[in-house]
Amino acid sequence: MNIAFAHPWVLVLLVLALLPFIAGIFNKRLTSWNRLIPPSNTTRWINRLIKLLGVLAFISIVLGLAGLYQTEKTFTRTGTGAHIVFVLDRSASMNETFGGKVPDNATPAKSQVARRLLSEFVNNRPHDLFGVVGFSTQPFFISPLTEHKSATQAAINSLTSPGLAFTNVAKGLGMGLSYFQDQPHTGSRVIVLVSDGAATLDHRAQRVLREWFERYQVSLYWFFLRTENGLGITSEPESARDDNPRVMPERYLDQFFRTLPIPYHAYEVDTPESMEAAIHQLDNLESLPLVYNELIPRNDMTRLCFLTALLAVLILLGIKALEAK
Amino acid sequence: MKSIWLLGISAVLLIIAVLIPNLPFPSKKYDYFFMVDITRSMNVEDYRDNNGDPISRLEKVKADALAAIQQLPCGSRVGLGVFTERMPTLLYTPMEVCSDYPEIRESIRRIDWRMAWVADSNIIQAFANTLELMRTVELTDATLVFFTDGQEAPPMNSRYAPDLGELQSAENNDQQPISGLIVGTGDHALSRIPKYDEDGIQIGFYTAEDVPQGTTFGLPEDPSKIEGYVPRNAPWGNQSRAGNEHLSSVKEDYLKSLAEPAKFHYHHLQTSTALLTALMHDDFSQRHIRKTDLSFIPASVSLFLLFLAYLPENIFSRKKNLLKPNINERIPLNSG
Repeated sequence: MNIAFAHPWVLVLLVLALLPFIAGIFNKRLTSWNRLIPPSNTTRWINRLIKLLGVLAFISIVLGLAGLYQTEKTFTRTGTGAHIVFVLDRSASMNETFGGKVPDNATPAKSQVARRLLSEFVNNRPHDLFGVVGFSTQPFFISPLTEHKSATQAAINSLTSPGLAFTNVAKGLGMGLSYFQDQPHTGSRVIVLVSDGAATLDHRAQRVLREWFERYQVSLYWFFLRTENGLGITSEPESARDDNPRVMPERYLDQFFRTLPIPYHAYEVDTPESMEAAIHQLDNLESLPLVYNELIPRNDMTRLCFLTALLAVLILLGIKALEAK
Repeated sequence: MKSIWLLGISAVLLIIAVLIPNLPFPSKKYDYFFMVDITRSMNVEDYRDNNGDPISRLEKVKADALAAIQQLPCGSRVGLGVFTERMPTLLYTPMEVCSDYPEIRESIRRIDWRMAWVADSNIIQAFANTLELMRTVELTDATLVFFTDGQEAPPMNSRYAPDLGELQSAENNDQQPISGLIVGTGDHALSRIPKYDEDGIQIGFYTAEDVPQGTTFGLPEDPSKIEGYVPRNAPWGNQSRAGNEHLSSVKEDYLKSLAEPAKFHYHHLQTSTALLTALMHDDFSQRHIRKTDLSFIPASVSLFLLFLAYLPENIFSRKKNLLKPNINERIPLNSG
């Protein structure tokens, strides 16, 4: 049981608890001769009890005023779940709709659809840890792997901000993988790459990504938000001349991901509904046994202290009422 | 006199303390959106940390902002964004500073100049765009805290500056204007700007030849003042210009001139306590009704009454002392 105080300085008042040893609640009375009222064991014990009640009353009021509480506890439990890092594309084209147009009320932008669905997904997975990375030309750290859902939701909201520059998938994935560096290996580890484009990876980036994916054993989900009539992961080149990573970066990125020694799933998403279906699949697939921490919030014990003091004072009051007038 | 009433009232007050519900009570909270400049000039090391070692402006902003956030009352919220060139971006919408503090701390620590996706630094445009961004993502209730050193690189042509007063005027916006604070970072003395290579290793400092020393954008205001002016071929003259644009200091006058039309406050970053005072200005506080536990009021009064009930009688009253001779008088009676 861990105990702490909201206002520890109030504890100075604990010296008041010495008062019952110095003085009592009764009026001093004169008697003609002390020996006429001989002390007995019973009266000694009653006297001690009365002092103790006084001490109890002072101590519990002061503890209550100091804001006694039980600190929040974490219980380690085993359930099913995952450590999930969202790697979000923040390039300029995410502002368009799936039809490649300027968004209006009826057809939201790709980034808006992604935000809504990811946010629902986060709410539905109570025990998972989530982290968020954004990337455009450079990656940026948004929120660490955490069980606080409110923080993850705020981080996913970054998708509402207009997109920036280009799509540098390699650096985004690199930062996403770095989240698993100091994490204990429990449950499934997942990177969810949400992007609407791809880029060519140079040899150096390919080598580093391959090494890191293998070392951290992270499975990869790629939600490719395809624009209508645009090139997709599964598009076949029309001629041999077009079959190169510059013309068809998506196809080549997909081929690279397939060669990685980890579970990999690609979803080509071209409507809000298909994205929802893809997220459901992710939900079903990623539930390995996971050791997670359950947080029990702090327990305020102020009222309990005041209640104890009240009982002590009520008994004292009763005794005082019996005092000889 | 030791009255029974002291104990009685004390007990009644404790009953109140136990049963009193959490009452709605107005309290202050703050809602901020921190926008941090991550352009190159923020790497200038013209601040000192606690050990007296030089630290960069960006590190100083990160350390002091975190120290200030720690002091904010619970219920306050902080959102974060960074900007480079003329483009701000949102990293997250405001989070509560007590329950989500670990996430805020981690994300602020990880702000890095290498997040910058382009290299220029166009402060006034970035400022205007940040105001727009806050309207787009519906953060107009938050207080904008704009950390920058005010170094425009390349120097800008003031004819093409956005009108901040108009952006903030009530007629132009359906919503109320955004309130906020510009925090100037850096020393008043000029310092060299460090230069890094692709891998983030410092390879020296920017020199006068590395950067444009004056603006060449658009049309000049008064061509007659420009030496060698040729309307088509040399609208900015044919002379090479000397200047100090490769050195950087905090441009306080410039930042104040941005703050004034936008009705923003200005603060020069020196210590985290001064920053906190500037942040907690009354203009930025929001009143909100919070369920507050008031049980401490009856409980402390009851503690005081209990104290009185136990107080030794002979402390104040002189009358009791007067009684003593009476006792002494009786002694001879007993002995006799």
